[in-house]
Amino acid sequence: MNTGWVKCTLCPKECELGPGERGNCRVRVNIDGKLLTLVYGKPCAVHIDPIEKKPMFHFLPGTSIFSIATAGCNLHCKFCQNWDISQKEPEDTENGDLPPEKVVQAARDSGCNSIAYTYSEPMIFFEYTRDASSIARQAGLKNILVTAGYISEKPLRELCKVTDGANLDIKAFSDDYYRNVCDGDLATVLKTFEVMKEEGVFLEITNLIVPTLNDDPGMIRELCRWLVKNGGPDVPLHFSRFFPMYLMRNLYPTPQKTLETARDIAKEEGLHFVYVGNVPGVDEDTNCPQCGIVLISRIGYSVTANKLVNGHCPNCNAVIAGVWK
Amino acid sequence: MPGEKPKRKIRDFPFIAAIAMTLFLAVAVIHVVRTQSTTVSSNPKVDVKRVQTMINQGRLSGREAEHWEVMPKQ
Repeated sequence: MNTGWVKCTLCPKECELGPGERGNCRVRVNIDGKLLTLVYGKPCAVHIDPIEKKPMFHFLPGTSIFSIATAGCNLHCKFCQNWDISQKEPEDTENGDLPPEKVVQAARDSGCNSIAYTYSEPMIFFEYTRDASSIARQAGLKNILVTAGYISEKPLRELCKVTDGANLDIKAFSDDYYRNVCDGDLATVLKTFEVMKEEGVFLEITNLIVPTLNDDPGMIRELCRWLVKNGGPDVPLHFSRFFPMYLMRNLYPTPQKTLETARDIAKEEGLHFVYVGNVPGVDEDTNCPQCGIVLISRIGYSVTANKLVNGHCPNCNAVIAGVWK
Repeated sequence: MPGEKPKRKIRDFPFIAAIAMTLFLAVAVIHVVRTQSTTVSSNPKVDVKRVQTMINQGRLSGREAEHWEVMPKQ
C-alpha cells in the first residue's frame, strides 16, 4: 500500500520522508508521494574561475573553469565557507534558469574547456550534475567535482562515468569529527575515494585544518598514511587554512606553522605533491618528485610558469601525475 | 499607604503551582509523544503551496528525482 512515504537513497542518510517533507539536503522534497529535486537546472551560483581555485593543481593548469552550484548540502559543517548557499533552502536563494545543455553552451561561449560542479555540494544536485557532465563530455569538455564525497555507491558510480577529475574534501581522519562537526561519517568519504579511484577519476584531496579540532599531528599522519596506501604517493594533497566562518567564529585562523607542520608530515609519509592553500606565496609550486626542479610556478591562483612537456619533467623525463591536456 | 501593592496571599501559590505543573506535564507529554512515535517525523516541512507556486513560475525545478523508493508503510 502506498502511504505517500518515500525513502531517498542518494546518500547514506537515506531520509524517510512523509508527504510535504524535505530531506536533510534541503533540495529533495516529497510532494504527493513523489520525490522531487527542486534544483535541476536552477543554479544559484555561476562563475568563471581559475582552475587553481578549486583547488586542482594537476588538471589543465592555468585554464579557466566554468563553475556552477545550487543551494543545499547533505553535510552541515560548522565552519562552512559557503554556508550562505549550502545551508539554505532553494526557495530562499536567487536561482537562474540554466538547463544542462545551456551550461555546456555557456562554458564553451566563455572559452572554458572544463566545468566544475562546486561551491555547495554537487552530489545533492546529482541529476543536474550528471546530465550536464554527460552533455559536456560529448562536447569535448571535461568535468570536475568539488565535493565532500557524501553519497551512496550506486549513484556515485553512475556519476563517475562522466567525471574526469575531483577535488575530494577529507575533512579529518576522525569519525568523531565528521559526526560532531560535519554531520557525516568518515567511512563513506573514504569509500568514495576508493570508488572514484577505481572508476578512473583523477583525484586531488583537500584537508581544511581547523585549529584545536583536527590539527593533531597524529591524525594528520594517519590521513597521509592512508592516502599513500590507498591512492599512492602521487595523489596531490592540499592543506587549507581555516578562517572563522558560519558557526565557528570563535576560533582563530590556522597558524602558518600548523600548515607547515602538516606539509612536513605529509612529505615524511611519502606524498610527492603537498600544497598549502589560502596562504599566498607558500608551497604553491609543483616540483618534480624525482629531480626536484620547479615544474609549475604559481602565485595565488595564477600560473606564472609551466615547464611540463607532455606531462613529463623536462629535466629528468619523470612522468608527473595529472591531466595536462 | 498610596501606591503600596497588595500583599500576595499565601493561599494563591498552590493554585499558581498547579497551573505551572499542568503546563509542564502537558509539554513533557507532547515532547515524549513526538520523539517516541514512529508516525511523527522530525523532517523539515515544506510549504507545499509556496513550492508549487515557485515551480509553476520556473523558479524551482520540480523534476522527479532519481535514487528513491516508495515506502510500503510507516
